[in-house]
Amino acid sequence: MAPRPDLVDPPDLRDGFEQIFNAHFAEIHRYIARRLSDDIADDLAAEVFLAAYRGGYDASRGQVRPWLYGIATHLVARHRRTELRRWKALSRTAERHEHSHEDAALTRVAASELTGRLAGALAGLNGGDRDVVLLSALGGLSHAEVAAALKIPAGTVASRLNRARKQLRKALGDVNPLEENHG
Amino acid sequence: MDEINLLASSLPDARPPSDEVVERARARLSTAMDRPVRRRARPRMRPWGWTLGAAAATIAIVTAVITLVSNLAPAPPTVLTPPPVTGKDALLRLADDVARLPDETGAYWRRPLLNTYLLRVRAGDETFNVLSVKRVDLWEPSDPRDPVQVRSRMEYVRPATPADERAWRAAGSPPVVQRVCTPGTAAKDCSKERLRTEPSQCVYTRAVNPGGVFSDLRLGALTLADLAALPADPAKLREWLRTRWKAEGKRETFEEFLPVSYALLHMPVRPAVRAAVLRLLADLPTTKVGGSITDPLGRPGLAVAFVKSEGFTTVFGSDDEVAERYTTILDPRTGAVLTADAAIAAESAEGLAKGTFMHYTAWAPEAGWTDDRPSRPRDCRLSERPIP
Repeated sequence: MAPRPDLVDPPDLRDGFEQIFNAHFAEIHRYIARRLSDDIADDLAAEVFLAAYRGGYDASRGQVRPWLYGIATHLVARHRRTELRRWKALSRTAERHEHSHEDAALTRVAASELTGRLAGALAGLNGGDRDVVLLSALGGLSHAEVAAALKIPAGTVASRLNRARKQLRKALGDVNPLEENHG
Repeated sequence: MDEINLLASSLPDARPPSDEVVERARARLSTAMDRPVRRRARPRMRPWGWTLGAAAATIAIVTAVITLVSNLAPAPPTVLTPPPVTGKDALLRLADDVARLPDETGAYWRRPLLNTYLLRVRAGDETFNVLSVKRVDLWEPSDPRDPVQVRSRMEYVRPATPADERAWRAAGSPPVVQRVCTPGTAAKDCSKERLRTEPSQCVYTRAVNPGGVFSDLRLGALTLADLAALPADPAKLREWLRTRWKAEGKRETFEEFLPVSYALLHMPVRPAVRAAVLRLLADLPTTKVGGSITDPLGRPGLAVAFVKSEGFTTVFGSDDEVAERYTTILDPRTGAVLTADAAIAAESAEGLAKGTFMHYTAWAPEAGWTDDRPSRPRDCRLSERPIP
C-alpha cells in the first residue's frame, strides 16, 4: 500500500473547525431557533457551519463567535417573512392568551403581555435594527462584536440600537417595567 | 435591566438541538470536509425524550449510480477478508470495464439511501445490538421542469443479527429496549428505542427546482446537464476539476483538492466519465484500495478509500472510544457506489467484533436512471423545509 501524503497532516485547519463546531453549534442553533423556529434552525444551523467552513476561518477575521453569528444572521434574513410571522404570532398569542397554528413552540409558551408587546415591536423594526437588537439580546454580543458580525461600523451599531430601544420602550408603554431605569 | 436584557429574558427560548440534528449537521460538515468529523469523546445525549431519528443520524449524504444487484436483505454485518492481491490495478481494471458500459438515461435519476446505525441495547437480562435504518429517497428529474422529490422515513429498528434476535426473544420480545450508554451518562440522557418493523416518521418535499442544480454540492452547483457534458478523458476531467477548484476558492492546493473528485461517483454521470474518474483517482497518492469486501446489504464489492480513512474513534454501547475506519464500497462491475462512508470497527469491544459495520449509507439496488416517476407518498407529511 502506497504511503499517503495525508490530506490531513498539515497544520490542520479542519481539526480546528471541528472544535469550532463542537463549541458553538448549540448556541447558533438556539439563536436561529429563537428567531425562526426549531425546525428551521435544525437545517439552518448546519448551513451556518458549512458556509463558515467553506468561507474559511483565519485569525484576521477576529473572534469566532461574531463571525458565526454574522453568518447565521445573514441566513436568517432569507426567512424574513417567517420571522415576521413569528413575532406577529407571538404578539397575538399574548393578546388572545392562547394558540397559534403557526408554530407549536409558541403554544408551549404562555406569553406574557410583556413578551407580546416586545414581539410586536420587533415585527415593526426594520431588518437592520432587528439584527442588531437580537444579536445583542439573543447572542449576547457586545457592540464591537455586533459590528464585526454584521461588518458595519460600531457607530452604526450604536445608532441602530438606540433607535430600536426607543421603539421597544414605546411598545412597552404602560406596562414598562423599565420605567424606573429610563424615566 | 434594559430593553435588550428584557428581550433576552422574555422571548421564548428554544429547545436544544437533538442529537440527530447535531449528527446530521456534523455529517454535512464532514461531507464538505471530505472526512468524518469526529465526535466529542462522549457525545451529549438528547436531553428530552426519545426521538427515534436520533438513532439513525445520517452520516455521509450522497452517492450515485446503477446497480443490478437485487438482494436487499441486510447481511450480518461482517467483512470478508480481502484477497492477497489488491492495489490500484484493481481500480484501473474496473475503469476499463466501466468504460464499456452503455449510457443510460430516463425521466428520473433515483438515489435511495439507507442511513444505518448499529446500536447497543439492553432488555431484561439480555444485551444485544439493533440496527436502526433511516431511508432517504431522492428523485432527480432529467427535465428541470419536472419536480424534485425527496422522501425521508424511518425504515425499521430491529435486532441486528439472528443471535441478537434470539437475545431479544429471550428477553420476552419487548417492544421497547434501553440504549446502553457510557458510564456516567445520566439516565434521562440514555434513551429507549422502540423496535419497529414498519416505516414511520415519513416526511417529503416535492417541488420544481427551476435552476436544476443537483443537490450534491461538493463540487459546486452543477446541473444534470453540466454532469452530462463532463469529459470522459482523465486529462480533460482533471482540467475541469481545476476550474472547480478555482471556483471553490483554492483554499487547499489542487493536489489536495483532487480526491474530492470521488464525489462524481455519487452523481449521475455517464459510465465513460465514471471510468475517467476512477482512472484519475487511481493515480492519486491519497487513494487506497482495500480489495474485495461484502457490503452491508450482502453485495460483493471493492473497498476503496479516497480520503483519510483511519485514526477515528466512536462511541459504542458503554465504550466511549472504539477505533473505527471508513471505507467506500464500489460495485466491482459498474463502479457504482454500493455503500458510502461505511464505518467499520477497527478493534473489538463489548458486543462488537472487529470488522463489524457500525454505521453506513447503503445505496438500495433501485438506484439509477428510471422512466418511473415519483408518486406522492401516502401517509407522509409534506415538509416545508428541505430534507438534507
